[in-house]
Amino acid sequence: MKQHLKIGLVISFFLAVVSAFGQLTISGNVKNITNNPIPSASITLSKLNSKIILAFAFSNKEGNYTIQYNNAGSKDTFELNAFAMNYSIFHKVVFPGSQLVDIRLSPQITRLPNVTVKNTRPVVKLQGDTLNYDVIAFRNPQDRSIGDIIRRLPGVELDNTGKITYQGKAISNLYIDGDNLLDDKYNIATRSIPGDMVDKVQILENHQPIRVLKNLAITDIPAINLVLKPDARIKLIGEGNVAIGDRGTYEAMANALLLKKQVKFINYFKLNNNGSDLAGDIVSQFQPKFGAVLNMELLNINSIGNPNLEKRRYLQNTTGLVTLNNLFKLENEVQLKINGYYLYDKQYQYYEGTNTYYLPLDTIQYAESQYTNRNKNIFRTQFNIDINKNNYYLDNKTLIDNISKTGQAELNANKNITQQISGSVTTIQNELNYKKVLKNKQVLEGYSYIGNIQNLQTLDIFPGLYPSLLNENIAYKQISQNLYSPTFYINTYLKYYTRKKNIVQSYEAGFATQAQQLNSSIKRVQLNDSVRLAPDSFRNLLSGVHTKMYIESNFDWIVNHWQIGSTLIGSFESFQYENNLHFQDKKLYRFLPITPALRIKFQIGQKSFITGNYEHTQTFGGIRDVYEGYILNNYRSFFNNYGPVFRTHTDRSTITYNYRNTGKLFFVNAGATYNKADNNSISTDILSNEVQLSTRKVSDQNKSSAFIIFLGANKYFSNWHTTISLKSSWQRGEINLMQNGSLLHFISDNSTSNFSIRSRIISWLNTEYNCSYIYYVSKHLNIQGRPFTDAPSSYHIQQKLNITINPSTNYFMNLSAEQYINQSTGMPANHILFADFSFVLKIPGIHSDFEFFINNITGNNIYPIINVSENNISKTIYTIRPRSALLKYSFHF
Amino acid sequence: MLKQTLLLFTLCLNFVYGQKNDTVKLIVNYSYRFMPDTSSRDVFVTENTLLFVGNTSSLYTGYETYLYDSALQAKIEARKNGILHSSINPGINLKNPLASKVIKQNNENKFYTVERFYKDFLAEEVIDKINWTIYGDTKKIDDFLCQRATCRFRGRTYEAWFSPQLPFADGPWKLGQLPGLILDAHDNKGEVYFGFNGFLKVSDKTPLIHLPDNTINVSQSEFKNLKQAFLEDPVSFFENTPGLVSGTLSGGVMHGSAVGQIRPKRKLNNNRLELKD
Repeated sequence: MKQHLKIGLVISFFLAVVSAFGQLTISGNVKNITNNPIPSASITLSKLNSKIILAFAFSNKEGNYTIQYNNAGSKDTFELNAFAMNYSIFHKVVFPGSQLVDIRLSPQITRLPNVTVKNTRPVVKLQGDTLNYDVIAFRNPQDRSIGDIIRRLPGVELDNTGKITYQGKAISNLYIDGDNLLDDKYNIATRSIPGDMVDKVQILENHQPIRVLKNLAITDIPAINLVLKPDARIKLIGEGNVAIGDRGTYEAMANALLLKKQVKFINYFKLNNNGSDLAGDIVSQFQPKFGAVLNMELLNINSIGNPNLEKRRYLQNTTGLVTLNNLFKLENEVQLKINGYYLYDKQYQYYEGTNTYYLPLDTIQYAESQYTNRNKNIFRTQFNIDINKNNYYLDNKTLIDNISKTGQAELNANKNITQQISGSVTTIQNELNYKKVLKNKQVLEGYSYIGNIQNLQTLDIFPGLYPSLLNENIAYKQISQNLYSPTFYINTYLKYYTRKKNIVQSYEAGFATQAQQLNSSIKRVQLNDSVRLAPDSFRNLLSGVHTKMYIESNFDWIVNHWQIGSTLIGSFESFQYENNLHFQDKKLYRFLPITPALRIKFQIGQKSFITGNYEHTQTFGGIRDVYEGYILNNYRSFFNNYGPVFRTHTDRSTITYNYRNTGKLFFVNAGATYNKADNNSISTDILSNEVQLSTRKVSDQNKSSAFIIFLGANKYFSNWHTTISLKSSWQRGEINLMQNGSLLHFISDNSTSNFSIRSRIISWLNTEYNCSYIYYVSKHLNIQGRPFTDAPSSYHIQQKLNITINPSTNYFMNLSAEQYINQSTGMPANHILFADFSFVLKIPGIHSDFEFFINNITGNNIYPIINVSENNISKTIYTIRPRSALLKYSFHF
Repeated sequence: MLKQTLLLFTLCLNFVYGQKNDTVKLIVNYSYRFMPDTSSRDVFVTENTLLFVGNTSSLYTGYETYLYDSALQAKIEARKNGILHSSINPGINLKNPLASKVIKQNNENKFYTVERFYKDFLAEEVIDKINWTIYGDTKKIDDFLCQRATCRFRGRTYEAWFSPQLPFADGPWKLGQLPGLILDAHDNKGEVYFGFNGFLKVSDKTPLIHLPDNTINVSQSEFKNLKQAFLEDPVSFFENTPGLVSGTLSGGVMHGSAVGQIRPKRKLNNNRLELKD
């Protein structure tokens, strides 16, 4: 027995020692149940219940394997695992030592662990000058149109008016699959093309749409191209909605879209009375070279602007819009385009307020309350034929546009006054542009523009005001201000483009003329209804011709990282006019301005560049700067503008820095601008408690300048689906004003900051926070009598939080809160909070959505604001849209 | 002689080894970073790459190449079905014109390398056994527990992180042969890096793994010479390679030196992914 024990002890000791330093070797084969070898099976060894693999082997073609582990502890227990795809998993507990383990595996479908699929496709990709944003990565379930998505792209901004900027630069155009359907009215696209039709949003960084000018004209203005999904290119898409709400509010819309390669159209109508502004759909987002309707409004009935609120909160309206935009490709590179719209817009507004001017010797105050309703009808059609070939370019546009307006204001300013306005502006324009490639690849361009504007306006005021000034101190019934101002324009030029290696040059010679009349008179309707003209100092009978002949040269030199350009324009301008009322002779002015400009761009690596720009311009006034007779602008302002022909020298210098890292989705733009303007005369305001007279005098004191620093930064965190953006600017402006005979010099500082964060960390929760801060301070030393001793200042803070919860793609709700804080020197701050709620239910089976909205939950009915500028404080209380509920049904096919 | 060479190439064309199609089980996205020239150690080229893992084989390719090929394929299909009448331009610009691919057939124990020198050239090589040393260190990559391993492979010392939870003896490029998928690998000099980006969804539309059609099959050494010649002077390469264009059959099989006589060589970067040990 003892002997046995001893032997046993010795053996176990021996075994322990051997295994402590020894090996674990397992060999065998891996076969299936029909005894066929399984090659490439993995055999692993780990400690029992541990996930750490200590050794591994693969079976060979014959199914044989050998696995070896040299650091096996004697008391360790191991686990042998074998795995082959689509076979059962094999486990066996093994102990140190050498052994033979044959493995049999039975067929079994292998279940792989769940992998979380992330969108690893780069969401933004740069290809040459084109930046591609993957729409799907930025899409949220509640998005309706592509504009909702563009707004969220890092580096891109879409403001409240629909204007799109990329890296702080306004885009020059928005193309749909490469086609320019809408020109400057691209809101029609951003507000009507459904987001799910678009595959990619492309930023074309240096876009040259005209083929013959490729390599012959340097451009650094970005454009956007919407690349459609293939299935969106084939079918007609229709959508529509109807909505009704409390207090008789309604909304309706029907839209038909076809975006084929050969034919594109967006035709829709919309109408509502719930505060959504349809004029915003057809707003011009950039000054088109052609088709700008000059603002000829000299008369108006509103003496106050709009509140700093979102428009839908205060706009009381009844409006309808029909727009037709059709593009046909007749053959390759030849397209015909017809755009037209009709807008009916009726707006109501009620406000009351005071306006105080602090002058060195005086304090002037106006107090008024006013109820206005205004009607506007706009009709516009544009025909365009465009041939954009490699050897020539031809483009002709014809435009007819009519705006007619009527309006009435009932106001109380010490007494009850009624103002009625009506007017009509009709514009007919044609533009023809032809470019031809010559031998040696130079290009010759011919351009011609003809335009005619008819402008007729009247302002009637009841009762007859200012009898001492206008009616020999006799009370009378009505003032009637008439204004008629037709204008005729011609502009033609020839331009030659050439390129020698790295130098791009162009030369232009042109002629432009503008013939204009300004006829105005004030009629006084007496109590007995007899009508008499006011004295000549309230009448104008002017006609004038402004002509310009010029030569322009452009050089752009591109070398390595540098791009240096200059423009020099030498012109001969003349302005001749006659005033048949106030003097007999014609007056003639001549100018020989030379206006230079310089541009420098330096590329630092692939990601960033610096630009510097300087330009000097001289502008000359036209007929609207030489009218001697007063025009009644509104019930309390008489303006005349008489003196020497208005002349301004402007110097503008800008430096910008631009950085974009598309891999890290980080965008920065920063810069500084200094503008200086020097005029030959100054507008002189005479303010009294009753009336404001404005005229102009020769003076070398009309100087103004502004220095601006700005910064914008944008970063997208793909893992968090979050964009953070920051925008900030600081401006110091200096200006001289002449009021009541005193020359006042003002320095004002304006700083604005905007911070926003948009996030979708959890797939069913979208949050968006936005905060903007505006601070204004104005310094002027010699003004007495203000209710405060410090420089007048004000700040406005607006913050908005928007939360969307979408537990399923078929329904979601949205809650938003918006706070406005306004404060001005010497006044308590006022806070106002708005909240909105909406719930959307989508029923895909019948292509329908039901939506329920409650707007202005907190039930604010008025909005007070105090604005401070230079030496003026205005306090205004606006009536805004009350709490309202709306139920909407939408469908699409 | 010329005709014979041409014939030889034509014979090789499409005369592909017993093709097997393998369904994709998993698609892994890696970012690949490489230092092209060791004299400027802060300059890297990066590429977004994909590994399609099947039961017995895998395909490693550039993301853009994959998109390009699928777009091209779709257009070819569309044309076949009479839907498309325009050109078959896939509308994608390739950043890496070589469009490199590595196909592993683990059961056959073979790698196939495909690169595009105007046409797809294919070279076959035997998978060399990698002697991995595994360690007890672990880290998590995207919820997967990974274990560290090191090896010497094709002139470089690699450190790799593999996950036994993903039971594929595969990895980016030619790496693999571990009892779990390699999610992260880099060399010890900081010149080569394969980093895990994420997984992509496998769908019915995911193409099967197979050797590409219409390739020109060459030996491993020829392949290296061709690549050198292509990189040094793509124009001469195009003009002088039979089988690319008919009509310009001015030379036989190319060598870098022969090309060099025609026009000055482009200076090439000094670093290679595969080095000699």
